Amino acid sequence: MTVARSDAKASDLLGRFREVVEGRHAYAKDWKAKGTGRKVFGRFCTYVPEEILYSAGILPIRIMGSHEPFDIADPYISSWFCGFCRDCLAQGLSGRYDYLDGVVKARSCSQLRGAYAAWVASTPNLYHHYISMPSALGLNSNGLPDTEDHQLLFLKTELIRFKESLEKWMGHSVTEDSLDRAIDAYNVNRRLLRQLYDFRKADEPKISGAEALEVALASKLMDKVEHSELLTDLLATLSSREDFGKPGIRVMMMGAEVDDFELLRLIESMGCTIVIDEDCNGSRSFWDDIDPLPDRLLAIAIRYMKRIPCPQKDYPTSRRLPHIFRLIEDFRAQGVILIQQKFCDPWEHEAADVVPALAKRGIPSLVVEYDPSVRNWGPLRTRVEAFSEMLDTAFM
Amino acid sequence: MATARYRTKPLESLGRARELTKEYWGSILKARDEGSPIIWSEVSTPLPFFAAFPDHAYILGTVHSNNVARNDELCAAANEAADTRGLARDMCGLMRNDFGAALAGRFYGGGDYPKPSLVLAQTVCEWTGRSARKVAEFFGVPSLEWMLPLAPYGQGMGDKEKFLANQYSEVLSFMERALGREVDEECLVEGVRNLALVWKMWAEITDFSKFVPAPVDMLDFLRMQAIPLMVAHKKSSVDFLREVKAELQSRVDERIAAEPNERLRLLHVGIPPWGFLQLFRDSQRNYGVVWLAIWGYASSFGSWMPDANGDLVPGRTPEEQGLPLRNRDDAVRALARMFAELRGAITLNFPDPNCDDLLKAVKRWKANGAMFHDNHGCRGLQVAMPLDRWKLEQAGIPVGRYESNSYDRKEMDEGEVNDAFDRFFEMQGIKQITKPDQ
Repeated sequence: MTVARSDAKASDLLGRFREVVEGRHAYAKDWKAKGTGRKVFGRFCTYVPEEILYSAGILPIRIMGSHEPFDIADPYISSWFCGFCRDCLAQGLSGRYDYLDGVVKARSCSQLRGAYAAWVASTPNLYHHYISMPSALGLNSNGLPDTEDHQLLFLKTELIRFKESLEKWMGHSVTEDSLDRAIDAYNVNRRLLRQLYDFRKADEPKISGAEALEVALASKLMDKVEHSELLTDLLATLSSREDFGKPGIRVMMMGAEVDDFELLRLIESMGCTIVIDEDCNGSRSFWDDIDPLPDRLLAIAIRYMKRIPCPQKDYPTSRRLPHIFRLIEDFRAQGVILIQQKFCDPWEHEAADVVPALAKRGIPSLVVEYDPSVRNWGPLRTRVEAFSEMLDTAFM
Repeated sequence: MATARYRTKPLESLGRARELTKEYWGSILKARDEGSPIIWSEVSTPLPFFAAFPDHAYILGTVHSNNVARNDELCAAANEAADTRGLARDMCGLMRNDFGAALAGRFYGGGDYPKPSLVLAQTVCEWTGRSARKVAEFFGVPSLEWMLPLAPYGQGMGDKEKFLANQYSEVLSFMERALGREVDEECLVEGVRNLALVWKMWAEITDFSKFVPAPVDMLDFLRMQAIPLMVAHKKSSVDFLREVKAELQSRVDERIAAEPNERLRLLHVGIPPWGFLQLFRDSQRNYGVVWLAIWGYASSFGSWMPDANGDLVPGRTPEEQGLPLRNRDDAVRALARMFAELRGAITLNFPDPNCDDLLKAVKRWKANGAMFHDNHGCRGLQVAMPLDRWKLEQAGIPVGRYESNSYDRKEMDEGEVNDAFDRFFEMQGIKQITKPDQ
C-alpha cells in the first residue's frame, strides 16, 4: 500500500483507510513480507501497551471478528458470552489469523479472557502473554496516579515482565531509544486522530461517524508511522471536502469494540450524524498520550492508568460519566446511541448507570442491542429513525 | 427395590452447622434492628477484615443471593426490582438477587434490607466491583474495591503477594477511617490464624470425597460450606471443622456412606442451582448417584498445594510455611500469601491449558464422571468451563452438561434438567433403582 499523494481527495484517502479495515489480513501479511523476520502480534484489548510491542519491532494489530456465524467457537467458549469475543475466537480457530506470531491480552473482561485462553490452547506454539492490568485506577487531584501508588508500581512490574518476556522470545533487547521512538509514534498518531475528531465539532463535520471510526480502527491495524502519514494527508484535504452531504441530527455513539460499519452507516442514513464516539476502537483509544519520563515503562504505565477507562475499570471514582458529559458538550451531541453488545456485562452495567444519568440531564438516549452474527437491521432502522425524528422535533 | 450396598446415617455435624449459620444471620438482623454498623461485602473479601472490627456485623452479598434463590416469591421480587432498575436479565445473577432485594426493600431474613455503613469488594470477576459500587451508591455509603490479580498458571506475574499485601493494608486503613475506629490487632491476627486453619481443614474435609463409599455428599458439603464461606475467621468454625473431620473419619472407618446405593460417583462442576437442590437428592435416590464435593468450592475455600508428584493435596497454613503471625503487618502478609496461592481463584477464573486441577480432582476423588452446569447466572465461572470440559473429555472422563440459572428460578426447567441427568446416568449404564413415585 503506498502513501497517498498530498493532492489526493479526502474521499480517496478515506477509501484507503477503508481498504485496510476491510483487507486487514492482506495488509498484515503484506507488511510481514516486506522485511525479513518481521513479526505481527494480535492483541485483544486496548489495555495492551502496544508501544512495547512496537518498540520491539512488532506490528501490533487489533484482533477483530468478521460478523459471520461463529459456531466454530461454541465448544471453546460459552454461547452466552458476548458475540465479539466469540467472533474473535472463531477467526483464530478458522485460521484467518494464521500469520500471527503471538497474541497478547491485558486484564479487562472475563469473556475476552476466555477467548484469549481458548486461542492459546488451540495454538500452543504461539507466543502469548497476559498482563494483569490493575482495575482500581485511582488518580490524584492532578488527574495522575501517585507515583508511589502500589497499583501503578504493580503495573510497572507487569510491564517489565512483559518486556523481558518479549526480549527473550525475540532474542534481542528493547532499548530506551526504541521505546522513545515507539512512544513518539503513538503520541503523534493519537494527536492526529484527535485533530481529525476536532473536525466533527463544526456544524459541518466533513467526515461521518462511520468514516472517522474507520480511520481510527485502521490505526489499530496498520504501522503507526504509515497511518500517521496518510492521516496527515487526510487532515490537509478535509476542510476542502465537497462530497460530504448535509449533516443530520448530531449524536454520540457509545459502545465497546464497535466495528460494524454497516450498522454505523445505517444509523447515519436515518437522519443522524455521529459526531463523536465513546468506544474502544474510537476515541477512548487515543484520547490520552504518554507523558515522557526518564523511566519509560513507568511513563507507559501512567498513561494506561490515567487514560479514559473502559466500563470495566471505572473505579474507584467514576471518571467516565464526567468525560461522557464533556464530550456531549464539546461536540454538541443532541442525543446518545448506546450500542449494547449482547451479553456484554461491563456495558450492561454501563447502560444501567449512564442511561439514567443522561436522562437526568435531559439528554435523550437510545440503547441498541447488537449481536455481530445476527445483524437484523429492520427493527433497528425503525428505532433509529424514530429516535432521530424525536430529536429533530425536540430541537426545532 | 435393590438392597442397599452400604450402611448410611445422617451426618451429625449438620446440626452444629445450622447453629453457626443461624448465628451469622442473627447477627445481621440484630445489628439492623439496633441500628448498629454493618459492613457489606461480597464473598471473596478476606473474612479476617471483619474480625478486625469485632463490634460490626457484616453481610455477604453472595450468600444473601444464594438464599434469595431458594425463595420463589423473594427471588421474583428481587429480579423484578432489578429489571425496573435497568439491569439486564443476563447480568450477574448474584447481583440481581442481592441488589435486587435491596432495591425491593426486602431481605432473606425478613424485613428491610439492612443498610450497610460501608461496602467492600475483592474483585475477581468484573461484576463484583461494579455490583459493589451499585450497592454503595444506592445506600450512599463509602466503598472500596481492590483486585485479586490473575495470570495464567505458570506464567507468573509481578510480585503478587506484595501487591495484595499493599492492597490489604489499604483496606484496613480505609475501614478505620470509614468506621471511625482502629483495627483490633489481636482479633485480626486470631482471625487470620482461624481462617488459615479452616481453609486447611476444609481442603482435608472435601478430600474425604476420595473414599469409597463417599462418607459425605455434595448436598451435605453445601450445608457445611456455610462455615468456611461465612464465618471462617471464628474460633467456633475451627472447632466445628475439627468435629466434622473426626466424624467423617469415623464414617470412613465404619464404611458409612452418604448414599447407600452408591453406584456412580460424579463431580458437579459449577455453582449448583440453589433453588433446586432436591434434583440432586432425587438422582441419588433414583440412581444411586453420589455427588462428591464441588471442586470449585473445595479450592476456593480450602488451601491446596501440589505435592512432589504434582498431585494436589491439602495445603499448609502460612505459619506452617514459616510466616510469623504476631501483628497487623504479619496478618496482612499471611493473608496475601493465602490469597495469592488460592487455587480456586486462579483456576476457576483463568482457563489454562497447563493447569489440570479439575482433572486431578476427578482422579483423586475417583469420580466416574463430571456434570457441568452451564449457568446463565454466572458468566465469570463459565470462563474456564469449556477448556476444563475438553480436558476431561480428552482424558476419557464421561462428561455431561445441563443449563439453568443458579440465581433466577424462572430459568430453571426441572424437567429438562432431570432429562439431562437421566440421559447421562443411563449412558454410564446405570438404571433407575426406584421409580420417582415409589
